[in-house]
Amino acid sequence: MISGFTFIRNAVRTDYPVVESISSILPIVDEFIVNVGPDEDGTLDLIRSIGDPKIKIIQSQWNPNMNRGGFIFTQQTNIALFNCTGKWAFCLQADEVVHEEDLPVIKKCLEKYVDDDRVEGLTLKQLNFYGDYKTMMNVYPYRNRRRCRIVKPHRFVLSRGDSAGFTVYPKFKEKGHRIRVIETGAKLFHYWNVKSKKALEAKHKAVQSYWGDKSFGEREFDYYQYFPRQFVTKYRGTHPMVMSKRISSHPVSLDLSTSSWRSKLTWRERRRLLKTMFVTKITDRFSGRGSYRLLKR
Amino acid sequence: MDEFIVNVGPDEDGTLSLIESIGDPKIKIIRSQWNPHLDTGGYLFAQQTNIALFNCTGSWAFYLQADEVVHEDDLPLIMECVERYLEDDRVEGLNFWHLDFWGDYSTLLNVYPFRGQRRCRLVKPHRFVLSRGDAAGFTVHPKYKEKGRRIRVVDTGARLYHYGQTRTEKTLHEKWQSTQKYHSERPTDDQNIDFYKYFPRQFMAAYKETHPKVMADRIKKHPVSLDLSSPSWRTTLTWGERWLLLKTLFVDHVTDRLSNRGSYKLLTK
Repeated sequence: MISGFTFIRNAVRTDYPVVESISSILPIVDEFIVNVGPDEDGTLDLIRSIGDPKIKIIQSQWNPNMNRGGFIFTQQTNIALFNCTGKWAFCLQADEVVHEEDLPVIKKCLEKYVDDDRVEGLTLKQLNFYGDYKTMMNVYPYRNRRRCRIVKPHRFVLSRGDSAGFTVYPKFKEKGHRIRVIETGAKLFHYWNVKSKKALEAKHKAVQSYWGDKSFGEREFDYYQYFPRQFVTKYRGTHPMVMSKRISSHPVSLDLSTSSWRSKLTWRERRRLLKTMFVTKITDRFSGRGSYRLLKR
Repeated sequence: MDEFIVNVGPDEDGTLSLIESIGDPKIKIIRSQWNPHLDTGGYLFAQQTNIALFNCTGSWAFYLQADEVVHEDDLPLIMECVERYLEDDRVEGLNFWHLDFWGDYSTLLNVYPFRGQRRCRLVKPHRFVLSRGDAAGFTVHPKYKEKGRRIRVVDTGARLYHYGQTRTEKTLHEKWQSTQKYHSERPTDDQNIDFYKYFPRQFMAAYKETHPKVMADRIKKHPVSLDLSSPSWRTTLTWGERWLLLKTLFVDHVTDRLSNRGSYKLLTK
């Protein structure tokens, strides 16, 4: 048995593709736990409208004192995680979608490693989209980021940090260790800033209240100025089928060859490009970066 | 208290309507599923505790297990500590003195680890606190990353009445059997329990003080009454039990004073 889980709040106002996200893995899961926060904009009805018997809705409260570092997201992810009854639990954040072509690959890994106690999680390769559906982030840490999104909930797994990944605390005691993962090779489409300007502003405002001061600035968001041209690249592959309706009605379209792009780099951005090279050519091959321990297949 | 989060598992016997029948607007019910694969060590209880904990919106969260009761006389003491340590970032939790009853309401377990066990039951949910082990206590994982540490607590001095074993021999046996599936590493015990034989007389002490008022009805109706001077008590000790008595002495006189036992770090008031 395989569970899917996610948490969501104010999905309508911030225009998250949560319905598409859930639908994309429904064929391979036996239940899908959706943890819906205090409902202010009809998110609950939106989730109910999917109308699949596999979907199990949980309603939760959000602790107002967790207002820094995105740590509230971890709490909310854990609520959904602990409700999973499967041997595997597949976590999708509300703007992440899996391609239908990758489902067989994932399914095969799930079956292969279910009884292998070395393996505590599986990673996907995350593609981060920016602005529209053909522009992708091409720098560290966004490019081809490995994300642990499939875990064994009975192996003392907990959501980590700002719920970007998972960590393991054997027996739920003080000593934790990095989660041991296997790479599936499947892609994870992360429609990160692929929104209309209004929804993007609503998202930044909402996220800001959980991040304290460390977040997007107050100034108006300009796609061509926020990141320099060197940070993005064109995406030529296909998108998950569930997204087709959104793609055809998307209001933003970025032109990669326009002169509106900022091309002057700050020193930090230069360092970022250097780091990207270093990570792709060296570190990433030898060790797994980040918060997991990559096992050999 | 401004809200009370009750996490009700899959309902098979009307527990949900029992909770609903309390009918206080402060009570907020959450319904959850229980993972069937987490079947050892009682770790499932930690998961379920955490679900409730993460739903708390207060600056403090007061955790009570379903067989634990607080005495109304201690409430002012607790409130004082809650106010005093609210802004003190050193303090992440508050401790209670556990009283473990055996069989009836006048018999206390008087050995380690039951006697005078301190339990952390009041925590600050926004300080990265998580339920620990089999939900017996709490631990802190700063920023929810890999390196966790023991929770820093202050003693309130308030008592926590634990009526887990205050049942009839039959219902206690049933309870132990039903929790077996969450502790599948423990051997199944098909023998009936005899209150006079299960623990020796040396493990017991009389409790002469009052109980929380809310318990009055249950105390009146309780069918079991143990006689501490009865000759039915087992008095011959096994070696394990002798060792436990020795350990009780040792903990009382040495370890408990110098350091503190268990999974917390006790701060001086």
